[in-house]
Amino acid sequence: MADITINGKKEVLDKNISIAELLKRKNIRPEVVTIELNDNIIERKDYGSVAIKEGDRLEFVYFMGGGSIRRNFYFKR
Amino acid sequence: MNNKIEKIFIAKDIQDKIIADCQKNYPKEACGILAGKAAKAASVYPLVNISDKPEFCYLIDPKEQLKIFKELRAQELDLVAIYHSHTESPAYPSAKDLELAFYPESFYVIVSLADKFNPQIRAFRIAENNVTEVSIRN
Repeated sequence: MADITINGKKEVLDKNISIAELLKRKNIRPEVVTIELNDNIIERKDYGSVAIKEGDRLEFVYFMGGGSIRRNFYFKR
Repeated sequence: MNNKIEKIFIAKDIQDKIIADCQKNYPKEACGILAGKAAKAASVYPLVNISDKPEFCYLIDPKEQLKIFKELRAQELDLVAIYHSHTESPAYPSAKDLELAFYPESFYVIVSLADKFNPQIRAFRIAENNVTEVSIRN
């Protein structure tokens, strides 16, 4: 069991899992979020290897973007 | 008259600040958020557009976003709306706006500067690729 905080709200994990597993459980696509763990932004490539532990504080923010009508351009992220 | 049309409350001075930010950034797109409670905007946070094509795209820096969201939480304020400008096209969500709308609980405010002397401001809900216009009240 691990008590953690996500965006200021307490949650309990049944076991220690990776960030990638947490996203999977929450049905969140990794490519649309930026994640901060204990005040440090985690690189997307590390989501599978970074384990979430008791007392960790996570912040999830979703991508905020868009723009005017130019259909031939898309973001590269 | 349809009384079921959803409303967002944005005071005139806040609308003026949004439009001023959009005009200041022209010909680049401006972006930012409105904070407040429920559907009532109380403050405006202009943010930096970090897109590499800022003339027709916007991208909010996630680091700035994280910082602002923590500030809002500390002040017990909600994200009410995300705003951006369209410098050449109408104030209506583009296909790209729909594709990248990940905050269905938020309103999306768009300012068109297609007519620079007569900016248009409109608000929408965007959820699951559906766009619903929302009435802006002062």
